[in-house]
Amino acid sequence: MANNKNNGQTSAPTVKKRSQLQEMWRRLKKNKPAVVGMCIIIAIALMAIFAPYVTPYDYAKQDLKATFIKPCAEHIMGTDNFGRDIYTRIVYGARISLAIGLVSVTIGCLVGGSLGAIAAYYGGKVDNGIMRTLDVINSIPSLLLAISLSASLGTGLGNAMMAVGFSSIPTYARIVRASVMSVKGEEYVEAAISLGASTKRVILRHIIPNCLAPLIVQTSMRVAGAIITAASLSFIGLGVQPPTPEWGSMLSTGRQYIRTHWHMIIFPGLAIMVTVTSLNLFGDGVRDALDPRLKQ
Amino acid sequence: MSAYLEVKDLKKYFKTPRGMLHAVDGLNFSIEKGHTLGVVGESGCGKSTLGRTIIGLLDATGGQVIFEGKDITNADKAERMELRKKMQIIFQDPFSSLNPRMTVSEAIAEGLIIHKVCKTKQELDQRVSELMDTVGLAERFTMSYPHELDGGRRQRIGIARALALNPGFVVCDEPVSALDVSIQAQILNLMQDLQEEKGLTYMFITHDLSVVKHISNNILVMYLGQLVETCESDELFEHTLHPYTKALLSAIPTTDIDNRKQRILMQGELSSPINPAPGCRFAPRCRYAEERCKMENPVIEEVLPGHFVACHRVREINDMQ
Amino acid sequence: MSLLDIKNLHVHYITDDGTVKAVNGIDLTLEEGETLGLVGETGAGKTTTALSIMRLIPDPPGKIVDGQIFFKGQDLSTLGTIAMRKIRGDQIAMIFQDPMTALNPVIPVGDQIAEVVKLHTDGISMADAVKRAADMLEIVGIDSGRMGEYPHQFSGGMKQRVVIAIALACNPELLIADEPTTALDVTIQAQVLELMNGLKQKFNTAMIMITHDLGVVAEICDKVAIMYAGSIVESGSLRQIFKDTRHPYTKGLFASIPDLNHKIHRLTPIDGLMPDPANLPEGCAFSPRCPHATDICHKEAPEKIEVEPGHIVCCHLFRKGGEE
Repeated sequence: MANNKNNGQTSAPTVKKRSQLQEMWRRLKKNKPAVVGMCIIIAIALMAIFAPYVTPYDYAKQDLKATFIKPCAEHIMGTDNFGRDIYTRIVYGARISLAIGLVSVTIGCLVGGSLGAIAAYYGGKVDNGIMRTLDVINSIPSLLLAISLSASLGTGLGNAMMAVGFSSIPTYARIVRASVMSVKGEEYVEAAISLGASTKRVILRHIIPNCLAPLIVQTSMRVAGAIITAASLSFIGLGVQPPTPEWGSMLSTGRQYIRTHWHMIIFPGLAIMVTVTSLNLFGDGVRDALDPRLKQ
Repeated sequence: MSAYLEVKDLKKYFKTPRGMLHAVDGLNFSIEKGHTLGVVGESGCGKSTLGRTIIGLLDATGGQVIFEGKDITNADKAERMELRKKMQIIFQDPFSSLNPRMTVSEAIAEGLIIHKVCKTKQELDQRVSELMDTVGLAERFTMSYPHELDGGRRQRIGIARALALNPGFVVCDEPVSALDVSIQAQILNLMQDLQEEKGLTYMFITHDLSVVKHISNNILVMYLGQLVETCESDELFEHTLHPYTKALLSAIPTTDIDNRKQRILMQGELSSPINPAPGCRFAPRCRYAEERCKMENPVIEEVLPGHFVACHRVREINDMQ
Repeated sequence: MSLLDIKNLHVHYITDDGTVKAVNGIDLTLEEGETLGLVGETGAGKTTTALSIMRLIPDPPGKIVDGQIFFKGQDLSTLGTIAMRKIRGDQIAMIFQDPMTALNPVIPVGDQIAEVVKLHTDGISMADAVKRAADMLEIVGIDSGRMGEYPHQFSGGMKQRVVIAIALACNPELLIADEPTTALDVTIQAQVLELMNGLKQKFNTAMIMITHDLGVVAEICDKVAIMYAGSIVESGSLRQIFKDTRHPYTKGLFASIPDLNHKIHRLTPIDGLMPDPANLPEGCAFSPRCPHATDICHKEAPEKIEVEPGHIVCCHLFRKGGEE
């Protein structure tokens, strides 16, 4: 504290930053599993972004002379039934999986979050209408919902994202509604109103910033779920269509050869497992770092 | 002569699943400019609702609030915006009354920004640092967040925020009850200094009679949404007339171990303010209650000059003519 | 032998951000049937002291780093978990500040009392335990017909009565009450204090009353200990503390309270704030706020000085040879 006094005005912005993000970062850093998870996710994301530079082959190029090669120096994860390099396909598959994860979560977060916020802020009939409708959606298991949506919308990457995103809307709506309701009753909101703050200002400056924490936590946890749901869709043939490499559809193909060519199913399986586990570890860490009950 | 703030037959009811909750039920009083009115009562007596209704955080169910000679009960948006500058509130809980994601300076500056008081950023910073100085907050806390500060300092932020727009009238809703004794005294002194300096008018809501005696010119005692007794502060302590006020006074633990008061223990607890039965609301706990008290609501009477009491038997109980 | 004898108790909370010295070498004795008022502001270490006696300090981060707590001659600080569990609730009971959260909301109050009785009385039948629970409710002034009701059906004051009934159900020899009336309205507080005063005499229970309210202390206590930043700065009988106040902090506390009987224009608060217990000042912890502080106060921790029989002050002003 003594330092701040001496530094005066110039240090002001850094002081502010430290209290918010760095505080969380400091706590997150102490959580070893979360840091490991985060590093793995970053590595996967980097590989996905720079896929052409880290892969030796074309993901769609078939080489029927070189099918079912076991992992070796040339093909570190072997090749599949069409002679395509599995490592290359997994790296490109990461692009799809991460994209599905992020886009679908964003859809769920924006739509669900807004609905939840509207329900909580206006209350009464609006609240009842929105929440009961979402209850109906929520009563259908999310995978089943995604399957039926994909089936009706048609297959493809975009529709898979939509389907997965849509099924997460009720969860987001609930979380946001609960936190808006509790923040709405806080005295600082009343204080802002008594100062003459407009509804817009109250929502933007006071309610939203204090509702972000549970939303961030949910989002970081939800990406993993979305990846699994998307993989499941592709596994049963409703998601991304070949030849686009997708972990779920790779598993599905590999399943036919599980007795003879283990590598076709092990590597995409591992890819899903590692990604999902890392995301969950990271999500757990974020939750612990943001949870006000663990503060102090 | 018109008072600075006048409240006429003010009512605030809330709809609950079990019926109408009469939080404030027909209150009449006025406050002179520069004075402090202490509003005393137990939790659930409607004192916080009263404060919020007066400054327009809640809409009144009935009655009038007259401020500076104008009826402001149904002020429109523009009028209300002007009133926000003149009437402010200081909250009880120094923890929940500050937005945890706003720095000290952001919290204090909020009113100034909303009402576009300052033209430049420099002017705003200047004004904020003046306010921090006024309430005794060191400059090094400008960029601190509320959770980094203790209760006393947080309450100072709350005061600075309320005073930023130079209001004339401030509702103080239990501003010191959540603080430690030594800090409580610091804040009370600060509030008194500010009142003298700026000529503020306070409505000081509290359950603590010793605090209210210390700071108020006039005191209003509330019970279940209604006025029980009101008069000048010293008068109330010298000639306590209403049985409820008497019991309330005797219940305060005193540090004077040689002069123990005769304690008047009240029976039972506050009854529900939902759909209250006719008759005096204090009757179920009053040891003087008779048939009449349970049938009709007592009228407020000026029993002594400037001393108003709502009790059927006030003269009998106090041996007065 | 005293009922309770605390010797040189030190409790620290060890966290990543540093060690919080919550209690720093306090000594306390309590005889049977006595009531001690433990007074101090937020963060003075009152509750930590109480939790140490109950051995309920959350560990980690809390740790009793030094000192002994003798209860009837037995050192509680080294007692095993199971032996301690037998004492807790049976011989030492505790009442917490918030009656709203101290009761289990899904169990009827009668059953909650009976459960404690059953737990600590060997071979008692459920029927007898229930009967005892009914008696206890009557003792604290609740109609035993309400035994089957749930906590939410009781008001705040009534809940605190139930909590007291649970605490006294096994006739403990020591009752620790942590701000039992702070959450209540004055009129209800008066009722509860009256009840506690009566019960204390009836059961001859020794009590430690933790509070920040000197008025409450005056109502109910025989002895007083004033805590500041984890140390007891002054202790003695009620009269010694209230009528012959010595320590500057205690004086400051009294001056901070608005008095109903005398009208003063301004209060005289203690300047400054409580020190951060993770970073206590050198010497006397109160020295930065003390109007009488001299050089030695900022350097050396003061020793305990008995200014008159039973009246102990921890302040350099009262050193032998020094002037008052």
